Formats: sequence, structure tokens, C-alpha cells
Amino acid sequence: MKEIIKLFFTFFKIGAFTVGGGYAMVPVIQKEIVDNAKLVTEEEFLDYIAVAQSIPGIIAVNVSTFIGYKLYGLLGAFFICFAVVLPSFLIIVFLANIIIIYRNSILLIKIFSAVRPAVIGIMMFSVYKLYRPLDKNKFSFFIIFLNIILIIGFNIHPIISLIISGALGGVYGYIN
Amino acid sequence: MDTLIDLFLKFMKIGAFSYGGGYTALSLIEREIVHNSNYLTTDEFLDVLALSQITPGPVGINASTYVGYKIMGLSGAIVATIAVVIVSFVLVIIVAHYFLKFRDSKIIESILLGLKPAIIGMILTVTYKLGIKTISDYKDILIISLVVISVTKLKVHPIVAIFGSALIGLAIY
Repeated sequence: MKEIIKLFFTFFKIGAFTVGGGYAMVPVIQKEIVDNAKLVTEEEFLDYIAVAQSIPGIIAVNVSTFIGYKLYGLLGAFFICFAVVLPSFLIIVFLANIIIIYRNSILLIKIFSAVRPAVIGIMMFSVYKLYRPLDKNKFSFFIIFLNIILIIGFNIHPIISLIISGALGGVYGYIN
Repeated sequence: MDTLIDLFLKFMKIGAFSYGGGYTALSLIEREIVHNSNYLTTDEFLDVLALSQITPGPVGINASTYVGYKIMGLSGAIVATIAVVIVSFVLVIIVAHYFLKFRDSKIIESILLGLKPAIIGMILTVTYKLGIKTISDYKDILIISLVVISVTKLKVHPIVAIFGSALIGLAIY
């Protein structure tokens, strides 16, 4: 139990101080768990990431849950998952309160007027980041256009178009 | 209570299909919370996106907590956060227990051949939809261009770009 509590604080710290989303958290988790605490070997950790990535959901949470389970079973999985999510929760609730109080102030209105288009720019960047390592073959382009047409043209739910795309990928991989 | 149950089911669905990182979760949140149910306006959703990126922690969790809080206060935040994690939590336990190596299997690799470009298409559509609703004058276009150039060409961190835009906003809006 003492070890779980120690690990709880390690993951709480990671959740509280890692800015830049889930992918930024993975190397920090690696440093704490593999290099500093030596609870998991590097090879095991890479295996965990591979598995966590193949499961849907938030990658950093998946990796944390996985490590918790491997080290201390179900209780460990629960506590470590809780630890990594809790800081986000507390920070967001705190900030949401402040924003709700001051949302009509000129200052916040001006800031958000600029931040909204900025977020559009960041989303374009995220598309670019995903596009760069992609295998640029006819099948990939077909799937990209298929999703745009299904979601915008036919108002299909993105989950449905994801499932269709996964199935098509399965068939395409099977043929090749 | 009905809203809480609805939130729970929606975020469970979002968590269960968030394949490939936070932006997939964000795209699904847009569909479920803005497009399909009008819980939030486009502007409110963009504020959620901004806040979830500049705060520490996974973007998908931050966004879920914030959306839950905006809709139903503290209970909404708790419900949305638990719901978005619960499916993958159970899946991780099952996979960790049997240590199934999905990555090694040819089937998963093939499915990923379809999912990776699909996620790009999906995020593109959300970006487009949010873009046409947000851009109203040259200032917005200026900010978007500045952000895109600074993060791609000048390798500025996205968070710095968002803070920078906020400062510019104080001057020009």
C-alpha cells in the first residue's frame, strides 16, 4: 500500500506539471518509472506503450493504468489512473470557475476573440503533424476523402466513418 | 439527472472511440456535444479547446472535464471525466491481464492502415466546420496565419502560440 501511495504522488505530479497533452506525458512517465524508480525496464515500457496505443482512449491514461495494473493489480490500476486524471480535473474546474465569473469582462472577451482563430491554426497544425508520417499512397488519400465526404456531405457520424475506414483498412491489408 | 445520464453515455462513446490521440476525442466531442445536441455553441467549444491545450494533462481529459462542468457544474465534470476514461480503463485491464499483443497481429496493423488517414479526414472536417463559423474578418485570418507559420516554420510550441495570440488579441480586437 505504501508503494501505491508513493506511485500515486508520482503520477499526480506528472499529471499536474506536464503541459502539451498526453503524448508529452509519455516520456515523462518513462523517466520517472523506468530511469528514476526502476520499477519497469525500458523494454517492458516500450511494450506497454505499444499496447496502450492499440487500445482506444487517452494514451497517457492508458499507459498509466497499464503500469498500475502490472505493478499492483486492479487496485494499482485504479489508483494510478485516478492519480493521472485528478490534476487535470482540479485545474480545469478551478479555471472554469474563474472564466465563468469573468466571462463578460472586456479583457477575457478580447483574449478569447484571438484565441478562437488561434485554435483553428493549432488544429491545422495537428492535421499536418498526422499527415507527415502517413504512407502517402492512393488508399490513404481515398480514405481521407471518403471521411470528408461521409462526414460533411452525408452528415455521417465520425464513429461510423471510423469503423468503415478500419474495415476497409482490414480488407486492403488482407489483399496486399 | 437525465442530462447527467445523457452526458455519461455520450462521453463513454467518445472515450471508447478516441483512437489516435486527443484530437480524435475533440472531434467526437464536437459531434456529440455541439453538432448533435447543442449543449455548447461553436464559440464555447473553441474556448474549451483553447483551455484544454494550455492546461497541464491530457487534452482529451481536460476537454471532457471542462465540457461536463460547463453543462452541469461539478457533477457534470465528474460524470464526463469518469465516462471518458471508463471504457479504455476496462480494456487496458483485460489486455494487461492477458498481455495480448495487439501490435503484433496483422489484422490490427491492417485496420490502422484505414484508421490513420480516417483520423486526418475527420480532424480536417472539424477544423473546416469550426473555421467557417469562427472566421469573420481579416483579424481572424491574420491570427490563423501567424499561428500556422509560427508552429510549423518557426517551431514555436502550440501553447506559446496560443498565449501569443491572446496578447495580440488584447491589442487588435
